[in-house]
Amino acid sequence: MDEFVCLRMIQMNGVDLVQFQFDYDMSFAVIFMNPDGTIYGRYGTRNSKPEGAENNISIEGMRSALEATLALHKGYPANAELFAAKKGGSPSYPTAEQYPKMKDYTPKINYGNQVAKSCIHCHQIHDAERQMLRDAGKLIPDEILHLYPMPQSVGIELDPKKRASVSKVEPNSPAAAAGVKPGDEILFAGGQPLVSVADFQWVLNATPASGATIPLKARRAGKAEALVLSLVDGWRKKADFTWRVSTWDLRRIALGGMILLPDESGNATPTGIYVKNAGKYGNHAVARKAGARPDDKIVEIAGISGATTEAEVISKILDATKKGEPVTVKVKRGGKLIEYSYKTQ
Amino acid sequence: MKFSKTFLFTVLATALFAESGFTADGKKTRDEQVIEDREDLKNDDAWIYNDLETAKTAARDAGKPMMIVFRCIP
Repeated sequence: MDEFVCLRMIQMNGVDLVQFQFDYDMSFAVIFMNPDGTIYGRYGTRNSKPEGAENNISIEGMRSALEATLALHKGYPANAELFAAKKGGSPSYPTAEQYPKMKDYTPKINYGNQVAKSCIHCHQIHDAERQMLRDAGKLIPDEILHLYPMPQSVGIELDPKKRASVSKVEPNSPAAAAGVKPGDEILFAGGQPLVSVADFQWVLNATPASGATIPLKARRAGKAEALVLSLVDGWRKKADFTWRVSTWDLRRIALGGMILLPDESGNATPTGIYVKNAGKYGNHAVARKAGARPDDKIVEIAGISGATTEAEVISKILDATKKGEPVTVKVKRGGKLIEYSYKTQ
Repeated sequence: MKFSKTFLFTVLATALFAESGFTADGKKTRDEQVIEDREDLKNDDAWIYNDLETAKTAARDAGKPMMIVFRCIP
């Protein structure tokens, strides 16, 4: 405790987005920082529903991140060049409440009687960024849709208890091709020291969707290993983002408020997905007003008629469809084939 | 260097509980919980609440790094 100054931030109102960039879909995120603003590292990640959170963060992992941070701090400022890339690029707006979608918010929370209503949640920044692109008539690029890719996207599972240690390597993956092995402790990625899984995600997040090479420095059985991770065009699409809280707004934008889940009924259509729910209120009711109903079995959506997932559907729609353009859906309902169309938002 | 399990657990406990939808007192409104959380931290010497500049000054004066936790009451 005594070795850090601990600050608790509870909202994004007024927060400097030039300085504080992290996965805004996290409900718990840590930034380790020098008081001059230099970022040593990040901690906090998850890639699944609530019951999986403990698979991604742990007391042991937190401890190892703290220890690694103290070691980096001890070497500062002589090692300052290591941290240059830990600061992100210029955000679209310097603070959250300046985004058009959040213009009704203020830089401070109203502790009177409007605490929850006046608070900007972290995920709203992702929402606002995407809506800004949509309102400008633009597509949402993979770098904005497939955020902070998990290590599994490149074929690595990292041990949540130990900084950035490899617990598993997927065969035939970019990690396998690079020669990464279980047990490797990835100490550096892209030239940056890693204190956690979140730090590895930071490096992946900065990697273009079109692909690139990422140099890795690992420790294996006490020896240094220099490896190169080669990522090709489309690599970011491997990350399933539907667990993210910001997917709620993506469903509004791309699916008219529908939630699509795998159809495990035994008589699924070739797409393998169905409408779990179609929103009933406001802009989340667009698909329902067009004719969507819960339990509709998707035969075709946005031209996809083969096996697919909700993430792939959203991704394809946002790759190809601008605000106001239609999406056509064909479903099976009660043995009948029904077609409807809604406009994306 | 040692970090007490209590400290580490405190930092992570609300994250894990919140991930499962747990709240400290299901009868309180979210506003009440946020205000109660703020009052708790005001009395906690280990944490600075929502004040980056104070934290930076303290860290600079002490020569320590900062651990900045973004965590609301869900």
